[in-house]
Amino acid sequence: MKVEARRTGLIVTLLILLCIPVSASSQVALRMIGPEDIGGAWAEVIRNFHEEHPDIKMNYISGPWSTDERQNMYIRSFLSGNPFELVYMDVIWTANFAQRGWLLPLDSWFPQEEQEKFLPGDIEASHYKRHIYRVPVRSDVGMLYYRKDLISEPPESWEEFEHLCRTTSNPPERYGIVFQGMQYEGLICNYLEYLWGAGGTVLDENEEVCLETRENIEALRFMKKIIEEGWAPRSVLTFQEQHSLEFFEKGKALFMRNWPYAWNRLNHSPLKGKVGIVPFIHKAGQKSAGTLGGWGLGIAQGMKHPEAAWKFIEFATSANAQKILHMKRGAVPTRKSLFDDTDIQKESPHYKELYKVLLRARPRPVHPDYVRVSAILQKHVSAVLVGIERPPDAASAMDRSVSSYVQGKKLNWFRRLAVDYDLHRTVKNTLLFTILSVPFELSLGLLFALILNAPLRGRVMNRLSVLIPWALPTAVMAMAWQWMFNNPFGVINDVLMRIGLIQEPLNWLSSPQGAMFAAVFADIWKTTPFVTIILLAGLQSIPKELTESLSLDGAGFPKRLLHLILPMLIPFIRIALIFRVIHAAGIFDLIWVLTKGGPADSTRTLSLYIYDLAFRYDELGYGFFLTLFFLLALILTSVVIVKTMTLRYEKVPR
Amino acid sequence: MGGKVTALQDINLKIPNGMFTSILGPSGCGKTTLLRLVAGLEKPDAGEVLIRDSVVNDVPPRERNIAMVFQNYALYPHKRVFENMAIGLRLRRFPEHDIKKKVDGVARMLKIEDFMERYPKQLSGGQQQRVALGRALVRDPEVFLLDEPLSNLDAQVREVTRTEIKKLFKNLQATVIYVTHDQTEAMMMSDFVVVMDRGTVRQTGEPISIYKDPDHRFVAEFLGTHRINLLHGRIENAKFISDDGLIVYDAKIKTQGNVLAGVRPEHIVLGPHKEIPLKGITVLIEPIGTTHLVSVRVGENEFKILTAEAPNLQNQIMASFSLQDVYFFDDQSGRRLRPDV
Amino acid sequence: MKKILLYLLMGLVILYCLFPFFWTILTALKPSDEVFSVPVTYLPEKFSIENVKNVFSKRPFGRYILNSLIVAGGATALTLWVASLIAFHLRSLDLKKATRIQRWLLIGAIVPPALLAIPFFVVLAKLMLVNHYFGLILSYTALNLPFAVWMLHAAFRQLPKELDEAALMDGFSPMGRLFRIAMPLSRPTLSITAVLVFIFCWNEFILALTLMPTQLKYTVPVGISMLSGASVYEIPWGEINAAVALTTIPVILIIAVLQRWVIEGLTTGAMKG
Repeated sequence: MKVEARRTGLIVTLLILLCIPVSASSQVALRMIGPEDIGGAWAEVIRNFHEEHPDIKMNYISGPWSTDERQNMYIRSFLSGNPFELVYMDVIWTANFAQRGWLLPLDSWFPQEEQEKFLPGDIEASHYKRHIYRVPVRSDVGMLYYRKDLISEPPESWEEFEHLCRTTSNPPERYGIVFQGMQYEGLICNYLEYLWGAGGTVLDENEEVCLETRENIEALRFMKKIIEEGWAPRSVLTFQEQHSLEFFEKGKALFMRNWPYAWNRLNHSPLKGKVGIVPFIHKAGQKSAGTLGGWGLGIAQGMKHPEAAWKFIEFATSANAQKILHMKRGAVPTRKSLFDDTDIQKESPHYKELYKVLLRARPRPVHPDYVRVSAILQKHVSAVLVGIERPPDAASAMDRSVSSYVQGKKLNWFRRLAVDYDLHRTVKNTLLFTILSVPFELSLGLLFALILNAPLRGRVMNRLSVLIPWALPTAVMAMAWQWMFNNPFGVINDVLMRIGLIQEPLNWLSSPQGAMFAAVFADIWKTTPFVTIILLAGLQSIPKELTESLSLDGAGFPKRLLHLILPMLIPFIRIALIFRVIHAAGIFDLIWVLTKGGPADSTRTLSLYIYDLAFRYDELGYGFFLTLFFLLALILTSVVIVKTMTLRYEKVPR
Repeated sequence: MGGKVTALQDINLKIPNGMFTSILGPSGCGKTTLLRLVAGLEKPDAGEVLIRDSVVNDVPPRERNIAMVFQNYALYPHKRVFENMAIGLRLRRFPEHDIKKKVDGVARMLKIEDFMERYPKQLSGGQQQRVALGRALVRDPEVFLLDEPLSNLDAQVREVTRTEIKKLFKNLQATVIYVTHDQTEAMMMSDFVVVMDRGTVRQTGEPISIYKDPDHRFVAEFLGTHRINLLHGRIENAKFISDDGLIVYDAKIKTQGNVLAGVRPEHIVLGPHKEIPLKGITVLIEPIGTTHLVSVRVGENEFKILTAEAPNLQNQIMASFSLQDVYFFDDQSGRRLRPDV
Repeated sequence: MKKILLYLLMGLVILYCLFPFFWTILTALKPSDEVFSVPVTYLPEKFSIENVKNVFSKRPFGRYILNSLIVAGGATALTLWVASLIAFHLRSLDLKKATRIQRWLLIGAIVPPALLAIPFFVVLAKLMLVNHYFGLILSYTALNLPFAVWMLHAAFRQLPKELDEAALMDGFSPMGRLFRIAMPLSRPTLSITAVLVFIFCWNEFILALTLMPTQLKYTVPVGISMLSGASVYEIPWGEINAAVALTTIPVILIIAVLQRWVIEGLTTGAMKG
């Protein structure tokens, strides 16, 4: 009795201890997430800050390259109730974060006079509903880099660009242009430059969606042409900024669309002195436009010492700090004064031109649901580039989707089911995935089980190896698969070429069919063991006498399989089928790590969509609603499977 | 036979045609293995298996024209009774019409025609067994192999079924090999008996002759409703002397040395009516229907006597038996010692 | 002849199952220039452990491992404890009722864990348990309870009722009967269940990603996935493969040692289904 009380007491104490968060120290601790601090610019700024403010500890957390992922991290931190104090945000996050009440208005600390010292576009984008929530740290605008040692006259129009590509580029040693073509926010920055350059726009003066326009179609057509004609390498579809930079740096392209930060890198590379920048190309007769980018710092609502956070912001956006960021990182300053600074002019003489471009940088639509709209646009632009959607269809789909999204948000959920384009797409993908993988897993599992059942030596080794794919973490193995399906370093392409099945390496993960195939393959690899084990148990439960009797009755192995083994295995097949269908329909880990649902949403399954609804689009209610339906569908499917797969003899009473 | 246990050794056996042969022995004696060898479910490590003068070692089971009834019936649970019985013919591509005729015929013979549409799990043990039999009968094979088919049945069902099986196969004049550990079954049903013990054949022959004239102590002990009384002693100068010296009589046998003398309970009578006397005390009386099995203690040994009247317990009693009912066995080898040896 | 074919097939099966794992290890052991060489080299020319070293130095990978251990270990212990309490009580009910209760528990197993992440997150956020070990431990326990209860219940039911009665006469309390008698006698089942639960928690990804979003608290799968950017050139593939290998080796060792039990556990679960 005492032993029981003591043990229970111990456990309870342990549990309580685990619950109490570790207490804070006397210093104020601040955190922010940013990309890897290559060059150490932030480290220096923070060091200087610590010298001036020893009572405040600033922690710069290195996050992934992808801005979308860092945004997710910020969102999750807001939702968790313990937000990161300093919000280092992309220009497009501001409206959304502000609308959700996550940001502290900075009006009291950042009055009009101060604001005017900064670039106008950046300031405009830092407002939401007349309050300012963010202080711009670095500005950004998309522009065209070109090899001035190879091209004397940089192009201004699309037509001039085309001409230069045809005559001067030389794929695959040297392509025409490289840009950001992966399905993410960066793609829209690129796309808008074509759209605006064609004279089109997303929202008209009345703030209505107007994407089903000739300009949009022309812009999409042009982008697609760039890839189809081979002026850009096909792998540009998997590029973000750093990939296009690496490519251009290695001298493999004549032009690059990128942000100003690249200049710094290029200046320390073999291409030093050989690169020039100009505003991005436009259709003849239209005006050039560059997408406004840029990052700024805001303060999270609900933190204990906002003044400490403000102190850091003040410091980090001061002229000195911005200078450091420029020198060490190539960041474009946001203070107008810095463009006249002698050091900076010496360092980056091109800033004179850049300043003019910056003054005309166009922000993306400032809208709290911009992220969602962008996601819709990304999907279709990506689909056009990948080749699975024609520009006119894409243009009308974009128009329809965005309008219906905005509309749908006002609709009741049931009606929304019919309109929700994303939902339909993901359901289709989920069905495709399930139908492709489950039959294979079952057949392969049966085959393996039959092999494992045979009295051969080394059975133990066999059983052990069969267990392994199932036991390994899916997410981790998905990374391994990414590597194996890689082009050009992947082993799968290599093996296939050596065997002679294919002549050239295939682009697995950047084509819709290839990505789905890769996902199905990886899933089959992982879950066949599970099926094998269940069926093996089934095989071993068949009394030996039955098999002997049937072979006496005249059945060779194939007939035995048909008349005895398969029927007796049906209860087990049933179970395996149900487990597998449920698992395949709800697949998340594998896809999320392997392809994130891309390219062009071709591998996006229902679970991914619902997850996004909850965590990225802030539509928890709708997400739950869909989950309920999903569950019902799964339960129904299980019931159907059980009903149809029960042999009569099982149902009959004794 | 794989593994480290020798299941069968030095078997040289001829099973007669058209007769009901039992292979009798305790568990582990190798009788089932022998059956499976004939079926082709096991392969011999050395030697040949012949069916009708052709060597069938390499012939797979399904081509040997044999049918087997398993101990646990081995009915296919997912097929109806009709299907269970028909499958052998189906697999051999018999025309459908013939199959139906044959199955129905056998079903009628076994009186299971009402069960054709049921599933095995809906039948009782006895009914399942008949279906298993029917499955074999339908095949019309050269040899029927039955592996302890009655052992899973209740005692009373067993008796009835035993007779039915015997009659059935008698009518068919089929060659049957029937494995059992129950000596009553073997005695009552067979034309020919093979007695096995630990992988070797001890004796073969007709049931009566084996019973009356056992070749080996094992056979004498194994057969018989009631266990034979065995007395240890030695033979000197044609006289049998028990170890404790209390029982002595003329043996009329030429051998010398240690022997076991066996007498069956039913051959000992109460009273001095036969030549060799036994004097002792009754220690236990076990009534069996109309007779009694009386245990009598003589010196160090106990004898069981089968008799109609029950003597009083703990009384002195006199019983007797005659020499011609005594079997002598060599103490070492267990072999039977016959008078002219 | 048939035997040769079967052995060949068996070999193919083993190759199919183990190839990705071996490839990962091979890549992990290559120095980075070899990792990125075209055409692909199979055996490393030079073996190097720089990848492994980098894994630990660039990110707090050791911390990730610690986090995974804490969470998986804690969840396993908690699951076993709670499940044994439930299973022990279920044992005293009549079989039909107990089976019905278990069926209800099963419904929880139908929901894809990814979707469960959402309500878990909402609830735990309100409880201030996001980014806390205990939050994740609780979630894993909830997910594994149906399975664990199933297994333990089956094991407990196999213990004869007489054991209970003897214990009652000896003066054991109910908790005593559970912990001193039932559990020690069910050691095999307990071990299988513990192993399967542990493996599940170690491998789990989406809940860990959602509920422990700060870098210091990443579990190993989440940490590894964060090593990626999005495409080829920037990504430290050598290190990633090293990290993958490091994560998978312990699991493989556990499986190797306990494979028979794991298979038993899975099949029992399947058959009861």
